Amino acid sequence: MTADGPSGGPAGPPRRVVVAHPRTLAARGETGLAHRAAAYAQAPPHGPQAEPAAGASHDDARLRALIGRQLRLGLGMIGALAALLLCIPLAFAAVPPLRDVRLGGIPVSWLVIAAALQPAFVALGVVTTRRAEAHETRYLAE
Amino acid sequence: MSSAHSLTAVVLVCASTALFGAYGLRPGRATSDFFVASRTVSPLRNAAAIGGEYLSAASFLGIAGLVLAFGADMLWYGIGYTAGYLVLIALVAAPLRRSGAYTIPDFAEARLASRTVRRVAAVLVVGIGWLYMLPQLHAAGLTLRTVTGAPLWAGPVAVTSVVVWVVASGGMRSVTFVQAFQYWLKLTALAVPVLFLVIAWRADGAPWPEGDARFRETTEVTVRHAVTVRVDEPVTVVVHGTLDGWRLADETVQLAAGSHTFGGDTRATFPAGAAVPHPVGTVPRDGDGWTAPLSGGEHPLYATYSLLVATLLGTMGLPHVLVRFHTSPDGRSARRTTRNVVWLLAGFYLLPPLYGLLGRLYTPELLMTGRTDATVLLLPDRLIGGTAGALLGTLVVAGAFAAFLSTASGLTLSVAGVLAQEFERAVRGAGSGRKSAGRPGGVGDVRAEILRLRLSGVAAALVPCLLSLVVAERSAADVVGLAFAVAASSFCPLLLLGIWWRGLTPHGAAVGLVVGGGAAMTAVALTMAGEPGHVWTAVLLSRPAAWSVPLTFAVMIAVSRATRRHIPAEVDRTLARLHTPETPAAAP
Repeated sequence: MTADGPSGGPAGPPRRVVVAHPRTLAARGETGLAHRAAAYAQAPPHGPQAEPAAGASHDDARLRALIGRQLRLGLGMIGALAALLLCIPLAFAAVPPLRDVRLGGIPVSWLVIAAALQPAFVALGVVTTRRAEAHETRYLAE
Repeated sequence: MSSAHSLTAVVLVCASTALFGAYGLRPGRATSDFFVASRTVSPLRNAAAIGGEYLSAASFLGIAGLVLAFGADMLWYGIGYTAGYLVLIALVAAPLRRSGAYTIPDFAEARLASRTVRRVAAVLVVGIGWLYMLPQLHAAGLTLRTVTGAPLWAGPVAVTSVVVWVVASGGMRSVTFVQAFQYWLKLTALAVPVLFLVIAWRADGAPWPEGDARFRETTEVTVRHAVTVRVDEPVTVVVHGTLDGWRLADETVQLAAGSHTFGGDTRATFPAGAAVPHPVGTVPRDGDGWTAPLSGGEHPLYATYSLLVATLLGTMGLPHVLVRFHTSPDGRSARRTTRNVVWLLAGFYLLPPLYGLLGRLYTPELLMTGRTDATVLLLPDRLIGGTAGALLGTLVVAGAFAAFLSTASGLTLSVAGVLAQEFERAVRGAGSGRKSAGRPGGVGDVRAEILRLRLSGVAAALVPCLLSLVVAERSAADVVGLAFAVAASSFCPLLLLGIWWRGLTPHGAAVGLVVGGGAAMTAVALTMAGEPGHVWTAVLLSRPAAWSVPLTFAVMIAVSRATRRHIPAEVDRTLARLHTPETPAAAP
């Protein structure tokens, strides 16, 4: 899991930083709601640890394309997940003999639901993460 | 079961949790430390911490108990509990981390610039948090009683005391340590005993539970609370205690077919091969209805789908899970953390169905008392016995307490954070002039803030403790499923539309939360109060997500469309902030 170290920070041990919560801003007297919302929107996007992207004044079209790509990826993945989870109960409902099929004394329904789905989830998670990161890398390289 | 060993395990887990909590105490830290460990936690440790916080009584005891009682259809609980994180990877984890919001009310206010939405969200966080706490506390009561015979209130009081101590002294930093450790403890506590259990099961000829639940051997059942059961075939039992109003002292009686009432603290010994009597009012699953999916209960297909909707979409609305994303340094590592959570959970959820299966074979008497959640605790002693059984049983008890403590402290911290914010606003609203005269952001402010958080922590823990003493106990996985349904019907639409749709307005969000979240809450309250007579009504109320989630989406979208001119002025900048990736300084 070494590849999973914080990717946004500098090399070496992570810096300890103070992160200002909206509430802290409020405590400093900036209580106007509109003021705070504006301050929020203008703050550096990801807190002090991650530097904002090089073209932080990104042109909207590029970012909008990224948002579209990520949304399509996310919805596609959820569609695949939904299809999987929709079809299994439906198969058992539509073809009742399937419910009683056994493999080595253990019902296939149990093997499918309790054992086979979890590895499929792991695979879906890995693929989605990789593709989402690829979209982001491409955006930053553009 | 060896109660001395088990009590030692409970005390050790409680004490180590409390010690870790005190260890994290360093005075003078800023609130962000108290809250989210200053965002310095690596994806693996953070994933283990999320797993540790997430795996509650419902996962550790509840799924096995439901599988014991109802069979194949209950296997979907473990599936939904994992798959919810896939939705988080796909659409929520990274943008939410980039939003910089610590809680859902924070997110609502930042995205929609509306205090009303914030307040509605805060009420829902507290409601979901407390609903989720109930089964943790009930399960603690059941566990302590099962292993030591302590009264039912002892467990909730013990868990609440430790949680108050942990939350008040250490905050999130200590909780991160504790949670990551507790994931591994919980995994070990189920995985090691199950190896021995499966070996013992194979030595027994690897039987599959066919037909009605029956006692495999002569079994003494201890009934602690009076229960009326239905006996289908006459059976000869030895009873010590109260039966149908008669005092009996180790007398052999023939139970005729029909209903019989066992009094509190009664022991009944059933012969091997006798069918297990079920409490009147429950619908027992016969062999086929238990083994095959969709073969028992009312409208099983709807119930299955509704459960999947609730667990899939409810995960993102759990207050104690969301705040954990802020312990990741950036959006990308929040997504990786979530990916790691999926495989940690995928491994864990392979185990509870095995306990349910073995429980059906070797602890069927739990069907008579209705306390099926105890099966995980009883199996090691029942199936292995001797010193090994006692030691494995002790390990399981330790894991169970880790589950109660970690989930309860995570929930309490989240609810406390939201309460403290609302409380602070109320105070400032009352004396706004005085506050701004103080030293801005000074030491006094921070101290006062941490004090407020601690007081809120005490309140956040005490209310569910009191509730747990008055609300009737239900299966842990069942109640947690209801909390998921409320979260899915309120926060899932708020987050998904808030992150991906610029057209969401404060009005749409507020009305959607009130209508959808309110409808789901009402359904939950009616279900907890008692089963309504009509079958479809009961199913719709006890599994609300399949209708309440689309309802919330529809209301939010429709009202937002109608109030289009109230789209927040900052929406484009806010969305850019949510979706702009960080520059990876050390990219491979």
